[in-house]
Amino acid sequence: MDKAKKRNRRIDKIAKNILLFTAILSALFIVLIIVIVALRGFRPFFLSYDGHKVSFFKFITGTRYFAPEYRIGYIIINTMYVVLLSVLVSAPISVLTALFVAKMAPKVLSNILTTTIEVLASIPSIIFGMFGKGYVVILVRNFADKIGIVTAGGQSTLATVIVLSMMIMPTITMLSITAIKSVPEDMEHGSLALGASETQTMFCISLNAAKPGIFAGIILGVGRALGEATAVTMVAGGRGSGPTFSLFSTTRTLTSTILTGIHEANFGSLEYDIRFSIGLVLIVVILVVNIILNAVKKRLGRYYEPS
Amino acid sequence: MRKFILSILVLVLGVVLVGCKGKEETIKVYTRDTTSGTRGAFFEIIGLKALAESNDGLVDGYIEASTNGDMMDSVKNDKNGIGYISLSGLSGSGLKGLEFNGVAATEANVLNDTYELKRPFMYIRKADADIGSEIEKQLVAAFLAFMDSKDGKEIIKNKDGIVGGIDTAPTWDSIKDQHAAALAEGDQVEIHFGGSTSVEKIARALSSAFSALAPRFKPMHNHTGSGAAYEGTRADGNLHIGFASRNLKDTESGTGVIYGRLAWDAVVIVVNSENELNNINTEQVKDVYTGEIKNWKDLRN
Amino acid sequence: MNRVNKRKVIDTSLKVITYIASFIAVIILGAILFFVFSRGSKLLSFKILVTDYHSKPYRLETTVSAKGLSFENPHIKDAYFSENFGFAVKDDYTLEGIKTIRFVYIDDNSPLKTTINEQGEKSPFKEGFIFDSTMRAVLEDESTVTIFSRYGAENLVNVLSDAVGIQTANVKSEGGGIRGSIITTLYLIFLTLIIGLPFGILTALYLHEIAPQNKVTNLLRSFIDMLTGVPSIIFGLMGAAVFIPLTSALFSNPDMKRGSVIAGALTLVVIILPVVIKATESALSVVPKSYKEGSLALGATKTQTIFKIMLPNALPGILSGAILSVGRVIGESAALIFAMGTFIGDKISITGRSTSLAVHIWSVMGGEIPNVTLASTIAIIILIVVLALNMSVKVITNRFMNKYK
Repeated sequence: MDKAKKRNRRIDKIAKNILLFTAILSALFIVLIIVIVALRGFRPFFLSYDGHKVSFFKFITGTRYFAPEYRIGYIIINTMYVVLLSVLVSAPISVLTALFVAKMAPKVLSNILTTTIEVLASIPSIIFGMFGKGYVVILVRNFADKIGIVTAGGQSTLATVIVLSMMIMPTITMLSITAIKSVPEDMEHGSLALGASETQTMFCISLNAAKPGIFAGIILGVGRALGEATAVTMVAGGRGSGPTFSLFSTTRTLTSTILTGIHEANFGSLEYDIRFSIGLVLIVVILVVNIILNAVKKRLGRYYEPS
Repeated sequence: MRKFILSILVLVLGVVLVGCKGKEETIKVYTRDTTSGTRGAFFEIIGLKALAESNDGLVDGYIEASTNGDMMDSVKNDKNGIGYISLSGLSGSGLKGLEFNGVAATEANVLNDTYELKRPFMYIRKADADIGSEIEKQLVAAFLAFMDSKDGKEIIKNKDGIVGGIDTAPTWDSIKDQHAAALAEGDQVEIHFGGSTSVEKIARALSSAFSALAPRFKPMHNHTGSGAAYEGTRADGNLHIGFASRNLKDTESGTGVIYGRLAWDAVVIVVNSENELNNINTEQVKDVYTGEIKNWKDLRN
Repeated sequence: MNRVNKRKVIDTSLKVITYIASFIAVIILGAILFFVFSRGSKLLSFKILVTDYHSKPYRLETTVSAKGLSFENPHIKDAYFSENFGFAVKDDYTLEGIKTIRFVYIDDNSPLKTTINEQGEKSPFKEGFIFDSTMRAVLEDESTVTIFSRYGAENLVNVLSDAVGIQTANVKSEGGGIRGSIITTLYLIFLTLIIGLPFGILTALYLHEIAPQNKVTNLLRSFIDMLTGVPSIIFGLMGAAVFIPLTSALFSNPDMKRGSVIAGALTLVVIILPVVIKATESALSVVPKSYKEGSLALGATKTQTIFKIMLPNALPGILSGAILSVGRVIGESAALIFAMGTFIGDKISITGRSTSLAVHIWSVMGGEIPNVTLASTIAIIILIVVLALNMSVKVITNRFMNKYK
């Protein structure tokens, strides 16, 4: 009896240690990612490659990006501009759709729409990119032609915004649906009892109460838009200087800059390591944006006290 | 909160509207990016050598195309566009090629030296000392011999390269015994090609035909621009043979660099098929690309 | 009265706007599906699934002689027939849209019988071969003339009508198929699941069953959660900087420095890790506590309880996690572009370079002329598979939830 117990306890201990080990390893991956990107990313500023050394200040604030000058200042601005426009376009559509699905639509329609949105959410980004390059870009080009504006074959800020909006719309919609559905019914009943119309109730009461959840969806959408690489690279056009705010000129984001030209770069060269620096900047930008938006979300939620 | 959102919307709308511009009849200038050999050859011949490497001095509002295909697409869809492409891409591109100083862009005119906008297709090879294995050295040597043989030159011509001396070159059959080691059977060895995208068609046709002759030869192509021809064939580069679609720079053709020319190509100035212009001379091209001439009206004289 | 009317107008207009906005989603999905299916169905066939991407070159074994031979013309539409050599060719386009000449008919008795392929082996001269290079023919007076493919099919036949033999011919088999990419995708799925599932399941077991409720555990959890927010291109950077050198050293193969299938699989493991962990944990939390307590009460050790009671009951949830991971592997592009490269391969091996279906789309859409047709065909395949996978996850989750009610 005693031997068995001792053996069991040992097995338990070994098993526990193995599981602990895998768990720690899993948790370490994020650390590994940050360390590697940071290590490689700092190299261009501290080492010299064939006599080239990149000044950090110029890197962050410059307005041209071709070898050997690497200045991503304008790329940061363009990235934020494109993402801001995408959110402005997709957020209203997503919220209205969510309202429709959660409150207005008959059950059958509601299910069809929910399935449609779930399908859209599961489409891989490369297919959005292909759709963008093969269709949206052509649409933009023809449209610009009609109103007399010249584009670089249609690859433009407008095309990028359209594609990004299509990609983040399902995210915002799905979270908004959950948020609107979880508004307590007594709030709505109270409003209707006080004489408000159904529409008034929906827009002024339900939407407002769901604001924190909707905003969480927007934050997630912004995160996805900032990190999207393949689809954006295919429609943005790779502009070498900037910043530019015109809808019809080509543009560039942090992610598309990392992705382009990866195969000419030799492992360990400046061309290669600079991409890690851009990756580092990308991580910082995403973190900062998330912190700011979460702070705004807290303020939004302050006026609504769940009963 | 609402006012805040509204003001952001107004601000963004304002920025967006201000950003948009568009005029008719202005010449829209297209160029390749600075690593392109086509660009280098073009600017050098018309006398604007400084513009080959940098965009300083280019007319405002120029648009960069990253490949020949991009350039063709862009000018095809732009009635006011003007650009330059390799002659090999002209047929089937849907674009109109302009005569240069009164001479049409044809193969014959390139070989008899009357058409001036021509450039050489060059190759640079990695030095034997920098190549690891014996078989790789033999394959590179055999491939270059094949390229210079009659068979090779015919393949280059078939892909629109302009090449002279076809009739006097030796046939592959007559020289292949000198490369018996490379043509033997055995495990496949990767030989990396790269460099100019203008030469890619020709390079692929050559390597495709050669791989049927040499069982160990496995060609890998990654063409990213003429700049990579010199860079990639240095000791630490990853190409065995790099191609460039322009004359090699002084820095690229110093002692120790092994290079040669495989063909000529003509650079043809192209405009949209609806454009009425037929001919353009050196001064006019210079003025268009530096911005001295901005409207199509000023060219139609 | 006015106030009521005004209210009604606002209400109706708001409703209309909402209806319109909702249908935008449907319109977008419809446009994407229409685009993909209309462009891609042209090429969708069994042939494209089993053909290699790169065309293989062939050459004639010896000079082919046609002295005294004459063949009957089968009169194939748009094709030109060579009477003395017994074959028909026509001007055509390859699967990639490039102009070429295609051999559409070869008579059984034609002297064009054998060729040598790249490996130096003999191979038959097949119908469907493409000619876009040069051919050297021998004339009666023993001089040779070269035929260029750029002058077309009719020219080819005309010049040959005076010839008595063909000395050399550079032909090739057609490429443009996606067999290599399909196999690569399957390899990736297999490798990623084999490595990632055990890893994720064991981690989830630790977090859910064994970990104490303290700050360290919370820290571990939040670290793992952070992985979900990382954009895939950053995973790509990590894969290129960590897994490529690692695998290259492990297999002592310097060719792997540009990427390999195994490096891609390892990168994917990190990407799907949070998915598997979350699915396993939520599956474990649905298993009734009574199962666990009963088992322990009956004298089983903690290890036995975890692996024999909890885990089997969490299997449906784990299955969902696995299926979601497969979907992620198929759809992932940016990370694989870095870790595996974009060279489309035909002979697939774990240490070799090739593309998954998604990266194949990226490869053909880049370059001089984007091949939208082929890309759409691949997209059809990806969409059908991903949608089927997502639907099966839903079915499993529903049945699983009902099991314990």
